[in-house]
Amino acid sequence: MTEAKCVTEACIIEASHTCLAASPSGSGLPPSVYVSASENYSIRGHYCNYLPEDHPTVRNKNSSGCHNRKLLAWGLIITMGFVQISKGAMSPSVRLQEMIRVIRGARTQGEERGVIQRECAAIRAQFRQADNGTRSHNLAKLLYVHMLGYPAHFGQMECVRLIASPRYNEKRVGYLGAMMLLDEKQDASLLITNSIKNDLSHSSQYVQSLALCTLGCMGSAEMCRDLAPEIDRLLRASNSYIKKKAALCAVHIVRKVPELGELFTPASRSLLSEKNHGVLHGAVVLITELCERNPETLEQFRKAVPELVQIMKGLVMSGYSPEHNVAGISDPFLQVRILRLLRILGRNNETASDAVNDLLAQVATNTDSSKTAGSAVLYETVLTVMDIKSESGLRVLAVNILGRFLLNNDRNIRYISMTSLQKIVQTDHNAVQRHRGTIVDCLKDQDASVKRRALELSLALVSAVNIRSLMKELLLFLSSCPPELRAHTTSGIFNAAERYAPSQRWHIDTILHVLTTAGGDVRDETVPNLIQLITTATELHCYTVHKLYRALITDISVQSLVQVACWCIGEYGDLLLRGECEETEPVQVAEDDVLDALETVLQSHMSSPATRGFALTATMKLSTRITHNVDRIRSIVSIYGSCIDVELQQRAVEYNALFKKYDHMRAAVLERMPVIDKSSPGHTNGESAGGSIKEMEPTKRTQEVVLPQEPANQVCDLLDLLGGSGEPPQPSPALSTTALGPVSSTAGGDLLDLLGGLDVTPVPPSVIVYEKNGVTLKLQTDRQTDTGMTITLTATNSTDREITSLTLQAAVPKSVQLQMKAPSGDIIPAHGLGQVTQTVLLNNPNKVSLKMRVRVCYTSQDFVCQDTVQIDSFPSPAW
Amino acid sequence: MRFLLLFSRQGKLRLQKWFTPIPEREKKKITRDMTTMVLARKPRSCNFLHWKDLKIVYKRYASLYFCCGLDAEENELLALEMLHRYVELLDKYFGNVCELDIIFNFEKAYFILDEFLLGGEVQETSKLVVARSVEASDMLQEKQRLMEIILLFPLFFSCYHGGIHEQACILTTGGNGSTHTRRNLNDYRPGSLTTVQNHGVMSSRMMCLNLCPEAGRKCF
Repeated sequence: MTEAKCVTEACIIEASHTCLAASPSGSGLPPSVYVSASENYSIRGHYCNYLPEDHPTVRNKNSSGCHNRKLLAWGLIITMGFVQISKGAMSPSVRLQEMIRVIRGARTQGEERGVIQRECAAIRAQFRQADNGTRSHNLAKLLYVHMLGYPAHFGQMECVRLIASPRYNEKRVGYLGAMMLLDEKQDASLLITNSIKNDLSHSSQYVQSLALCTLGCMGSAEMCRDLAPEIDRLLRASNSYIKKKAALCAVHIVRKVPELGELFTPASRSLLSEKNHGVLHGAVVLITELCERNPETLEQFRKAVPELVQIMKGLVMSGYSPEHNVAGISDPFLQVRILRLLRILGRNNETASDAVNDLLAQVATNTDSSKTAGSAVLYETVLTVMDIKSESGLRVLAVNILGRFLLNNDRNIRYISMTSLQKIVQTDHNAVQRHRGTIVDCLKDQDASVKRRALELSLALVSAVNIRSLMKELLLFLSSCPPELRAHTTSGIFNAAERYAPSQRWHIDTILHVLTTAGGDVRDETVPNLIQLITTATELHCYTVHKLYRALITDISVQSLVQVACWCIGEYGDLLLRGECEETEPVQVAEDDVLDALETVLQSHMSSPATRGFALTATMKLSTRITHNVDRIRSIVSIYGSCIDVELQQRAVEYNALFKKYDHMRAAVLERMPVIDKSSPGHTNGESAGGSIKEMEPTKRTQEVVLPQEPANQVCDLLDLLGGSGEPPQPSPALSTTALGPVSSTAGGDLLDLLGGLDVTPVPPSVIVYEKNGVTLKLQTDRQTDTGMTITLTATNSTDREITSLTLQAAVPKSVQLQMKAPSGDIIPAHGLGQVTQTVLLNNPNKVSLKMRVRVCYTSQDFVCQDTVQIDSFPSPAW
Repeated sequence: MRFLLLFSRQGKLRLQKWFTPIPEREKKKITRDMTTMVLARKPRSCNFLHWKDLKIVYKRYASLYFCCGLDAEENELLALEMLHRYVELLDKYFGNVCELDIIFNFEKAYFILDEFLLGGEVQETSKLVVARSVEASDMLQEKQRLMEIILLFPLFFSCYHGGIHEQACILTTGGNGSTHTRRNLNDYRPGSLTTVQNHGVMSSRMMCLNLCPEAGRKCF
């Protein structure tokens, strides 16, 4: 105190002098100026630092005359005297702003770090001292440092201390610090519970408000439990300033500790009769939260629907009220919240929905959508209409609003429109289909977010009717699409093409087009899928191989495309060389040209090891398909016998052996591959019907529905029946012993296969070895020799949740050797949309009776499941 | 709303508000992700982004980006409106707000935000009420402070100004023109704060305290 008094006197004395020159060494300067002088700031400097740099006073500092300067200095000194005096009552942080200025002035990161370290050390030191009146000041500085990303944890206890202080300004900064520095896990946050409790019953509403704000922002579950009764009490207070805060605080509490919801239910109901918008808004938010957490409360609040409708009507119909008006809309914040609550109340409830129908129609027609605020309300209205059991006319109105949004100039509104359309595209497909043109136009938008939305929506809109035109747009989009969207686009196109392809030729063309434009961004399974597709399209082999050959000689950088091309050239090289392809202009391809192309691929540094493998095999395959240049092939193969890549070397060595030792078998070994059957569910063998597929489309559709699974079994069945190979009509004895194989065959399927020309290879039978929790594990014997056996385990998932971390482990008798290949994945998508396969190789040299134990582990809906099944007999392979 | 961040075009954080408890490390990560994502956006893009399970809504005002993270069911357009409202509030408080105001008076920016939002929800839909309560809190703070000075130094005041029953001090805002206007005559009560416009020149007969509750801009 005495010191402060001296300061005052000193400053008054000083003020009476006229020679207040801005000299830092003035003898009678008050201590505060000394402080600054010792930190290399002149008084002027100090003063200027203390004002924001754009302040007019500072801007004029050089032009102002001496008189002014004196005045300034005089004022300064007096001020400083007071700053010094009033330290106890927190000065308006002179030093804080000075610190900010110094930090901002730092030229390098290192310099800044230095300044901050020094500051932090000083702050720390002052924190350690007893109450010296500058605590709030120091904490404020620390908060700034914290915002810059420097550690500030040592201020946590200071927050606790300041919150407990009786002074408002210290409390204010203390609570601010608590919200920024404390998190719910720290012990310090427990320490403030009591202070908050005291402050909640403080006589000043502003102190109460601080406590409410902090609790509503960072209150931990424990704090919430302790303070919930206090909040409930405040909800019934008469002060609307406190009530609105208490309501939102209650929202936070309910989010943290849902069972406390019941406590607030009565109070929140009575808040609905409030007139104050802030309180009303808080009440609506609280009720929304309560209803979302508890179905009983939801039922209870359904009775409040008429009240809410009344409030909403009041907002929509009322005239202009300047206080809550935003761009011509009366309190959009409240309107949106009420609409959202009505959505929750009206969901799956006829009465409540009926009660709001009129209101929604009114809002939808009376709200001006030219500004964001209006659009926000309309958007919320649309969501509500779509979610409750509203009349069909209202739904059409809602889709039309979204259609109007699509034409809006504001990109944000277009984006919102597409997000909402995407939500309803499944339920109101035709209504959305009407806006297809606009949506497709949005694919050309400059903004990536809008593009992404438009893409997703366009993919959802693809149907058998519009696939040709829509795909044209999508392919066009693919060529100009941002890299991050490419992978998504390609997979979307592939899926759409697979589902709705009007013809196989179109399908192959589409995939090839995608590969040439964005071949680097396709998923790995594209290559085998495409190869499978090509093999099944028997009539198109010639066309495809020509097309791929041309693609190969133009560009060999796209790995997936090159791989497919190599494969096809290898398989159908004879067709390529014969050159009689009626669909493309006849090109005479020489043997040497083909080999040149393959050799380029082999030698190119752009080719991946896998691609080289494809190319080498293709070269080898050509050896039986060409006539003149077999020696060249032999030399190519022998070169790679010493290749550095082990995989490639092995292939080459084997092929070399095929040339030398087993030349008599070469032709047989290198025969054309049989048609690969895709073993995924839902994929019918009707596709092998090639050209006739179009006429059969309706049959195929129905069949897909009837036969969700097990097409493979069926093929086998049929083959046995027709082939008359003497085997019993049952697929295999093993299957009947296990009696689990769901062998179903419908007339439709049979017919289809008959029409399909049976251009299919038999697929071995499978048995279900495990079926639990919707997870089905099938075992399939692919190949069996005297001592060896190849088994494929296929896991599928029919639940509506995806199965994760699936692992399969197998055990066999000691004398049997077991080798498990890597599984195709560890996640099975829901609804049988995918599967995980794993190949197991068994070697049984002693020919003991084969038994296998399989352990299945997976996580489904967060519980881990582990089971072991024993397999005693294996289905015998079909050949 | 899960969080609100204000950052400059250079990616410097100016204000951060987290409405749900998040560990410090996570906060830093989110902040970094937000700044890089938002600053990388091309001009004339829409104001919405997707990040993990959150909807990010951002808007640029002069050199500052206002960016907030929303839950899936929240209304993005309304969030834009909320950001705009906050800017309006800042503007009203600081008088033509600029980035520097928020840097130098960051705590005020937080106080305003705390009167507008609570726990990520709008607590007051009227601009006027928010402005009034921020002002009232500031007044409470200044009043308390002044009373302490007066109580500490009664002699000082009495000798220069004829005692504390006369008007003790004068609040000026000076040069920037945002004069504190008087609302009612109660402000003239003895011991309360009085405001006159002083245009930067101080009378030697008067005691001047540099208090400007609005902006924290100190001048004479």
